[in-house]
Amino acid sequence: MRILGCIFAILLGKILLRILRLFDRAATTFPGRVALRFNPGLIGQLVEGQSVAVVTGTNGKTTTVAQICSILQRSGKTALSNASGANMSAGIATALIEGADFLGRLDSDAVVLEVDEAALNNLVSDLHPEIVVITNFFADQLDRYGQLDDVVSSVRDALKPVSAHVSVCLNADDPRAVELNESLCFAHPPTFFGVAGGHADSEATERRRQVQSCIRCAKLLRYRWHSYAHLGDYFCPACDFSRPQLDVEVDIVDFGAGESCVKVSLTRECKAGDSAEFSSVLSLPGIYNVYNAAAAVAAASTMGSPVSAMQEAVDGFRGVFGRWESFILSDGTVKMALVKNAAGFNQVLQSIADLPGSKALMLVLNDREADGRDISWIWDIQLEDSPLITRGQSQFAVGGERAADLALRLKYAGLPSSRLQAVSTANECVSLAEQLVGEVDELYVLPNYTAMWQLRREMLKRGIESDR
Amino acid sequence: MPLKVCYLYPEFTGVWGDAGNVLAIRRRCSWRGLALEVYESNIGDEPGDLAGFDLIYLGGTEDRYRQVIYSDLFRRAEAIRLAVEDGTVLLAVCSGFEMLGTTFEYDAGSYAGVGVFDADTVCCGDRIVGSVVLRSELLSSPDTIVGFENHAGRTRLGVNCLPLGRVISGRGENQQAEGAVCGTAYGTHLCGPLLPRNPHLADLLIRKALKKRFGDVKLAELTDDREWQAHRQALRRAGLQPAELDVPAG
Repeated sequence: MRILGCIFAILLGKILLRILRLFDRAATTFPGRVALRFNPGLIGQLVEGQSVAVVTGTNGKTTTVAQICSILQRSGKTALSNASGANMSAGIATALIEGADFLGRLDSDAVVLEVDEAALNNLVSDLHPEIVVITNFFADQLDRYGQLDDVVSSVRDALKPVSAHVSVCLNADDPRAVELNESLCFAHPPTFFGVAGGHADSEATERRRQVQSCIRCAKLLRYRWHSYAHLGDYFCPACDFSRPQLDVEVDIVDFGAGESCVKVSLTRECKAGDSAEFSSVLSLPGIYNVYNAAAAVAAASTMGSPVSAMQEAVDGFRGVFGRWESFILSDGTVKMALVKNAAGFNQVLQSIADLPGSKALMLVLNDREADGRDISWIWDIQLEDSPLITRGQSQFAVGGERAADLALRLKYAGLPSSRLQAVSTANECVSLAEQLVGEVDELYVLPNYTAMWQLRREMLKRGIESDR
Repeated sequence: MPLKVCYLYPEFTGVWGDAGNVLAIRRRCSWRGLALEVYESNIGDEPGDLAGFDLIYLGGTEDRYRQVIYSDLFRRAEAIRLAVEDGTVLLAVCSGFEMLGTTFEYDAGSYAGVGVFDADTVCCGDRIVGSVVLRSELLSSPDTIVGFENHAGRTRLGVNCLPLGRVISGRGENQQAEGAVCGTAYGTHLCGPLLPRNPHLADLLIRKALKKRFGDVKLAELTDDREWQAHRQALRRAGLQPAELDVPAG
């Protein structure tokens, strides 16, 4: 009966996938949602016996998953993932249905899934992950999650039943992530990843940071340095809680505008004959992308991947859709970078400010269920201090369902109205982009989640090609 | 002489968009050529002479930091009450508002508040999350206030407080009181960018803050185009007609 139920749900899902694809829809969640209606245990049945790695946290999930898959592929293994970024049960079921044959068998060596940080608790008993990677915890979609501590608690609850066998990779530079190691007793010691200090310090560019407190004694943490937001080398002045020793350390040798030269050191024992250190050129801007690479290397080292595959994958990685994705228009290139919370937005702004050339920025904001209904966070972005505003050359445009709020935000950031254009629909955004791209050296489009999908669809509909 | 603003605990109140409220005061003064000084006050600062400020701002913090903020606020309780009695304008949002009441609850504990507002907050059940529209007797043309709320506390007003407004959309739409006004102290659960989207409320606070040392000052008109556009959009999304509510065109 169980097998029949599984086969029926897969068949249904696959038919829906086919039909929706005929109509050119992305179909990243609907087939899975319908299949789960008929067979709620489908996810557990499909991944049974598989080696599952889960990536969760606020930012960097999609990029980290793509990099882990790339490392696995370069070590001769096949990996199945929810590469679309649909990371709740329906999206995960859709990806698994697509990857399975009609009998529910997955033909891959590993399953690598990004999972929404608040959805993990409901999915963990189905997924039974062997590896869980925590990228970071930032304030994000607080209308859905409540408070940041609620998100961390929910991940803690999710990990509790699997703590006896799971291998976790934690961002050592994020005290909120390291807290998980305080309250849970992991059978395997966590793999801590982070960046080496003393460079690319954003001390000067982020005027204000949120304080963090010690999980053990509630005293406020102090920092030797910050890398960005509340990430860095912290310690408690009252007890011995501090940033743990790194197992995967990424030293940024040269922090360039669009790329970084990095030296990666793995201090845990590697496969025989492998050097425990390698150098790479990471072709993505921003220190947050260095963290994503560190997270992927940490996960891959836990899986026993060879160091040579890690190096090749980091060198060859060009990013995923919507994250510094380039679109080729007749008059120039548009770069798209997803921004969905203040921490990420600050990082993207800083990366753009560091890049050369005359610029235009188009910010596009929706407030649908998948985005979060509350857009208060746009007032936590440190726009006032950005040279993109203060130096007075960059043009700005706003779009999306909350374009009026963005326009207001930019006005209070100090942007004169002569440098701002407002549109709303995806169609209007792309038309304006086609016009702006000829007027400046670089046009950057910064949409949030659903806005990104709308814009990509609109551009692909117009025959605009992407580099992904 | 500049208008003096005290921004309490900025490092603890940066996740609900609170910076937007201080920014709105700052910009709306500078666009009018009014000098303004913002002093950022943190944990451990001397209670000092808070009455020397014209406006004090206290935002919302995560529950994790409530205890530390509460201890510090309580240390300054007398100074805060004296400042408000002396005519200093105070705007308190979310957990800041709750802690300045008579009593408040959080995390299964009950605490005595600072006592600026005659208001008690009980903490029960689910968080209240969503967009809200109020009508306020303090304002006219329009008398609407638009905002977003995200909090667990339920605040009941005593006889010495007036509500900031009554809910006409969101949270059951039942004319429920929202926020509190006690003398020159204003409290609300509407988080984040309350003042940018409600420029009439921002100007009301600036006028009251100026009054303390400069008497009745008529503020220069500003071109509030983007402000009213965002305000109108919030009303339309709540199913209300901006024109009927007398909202400027923007």
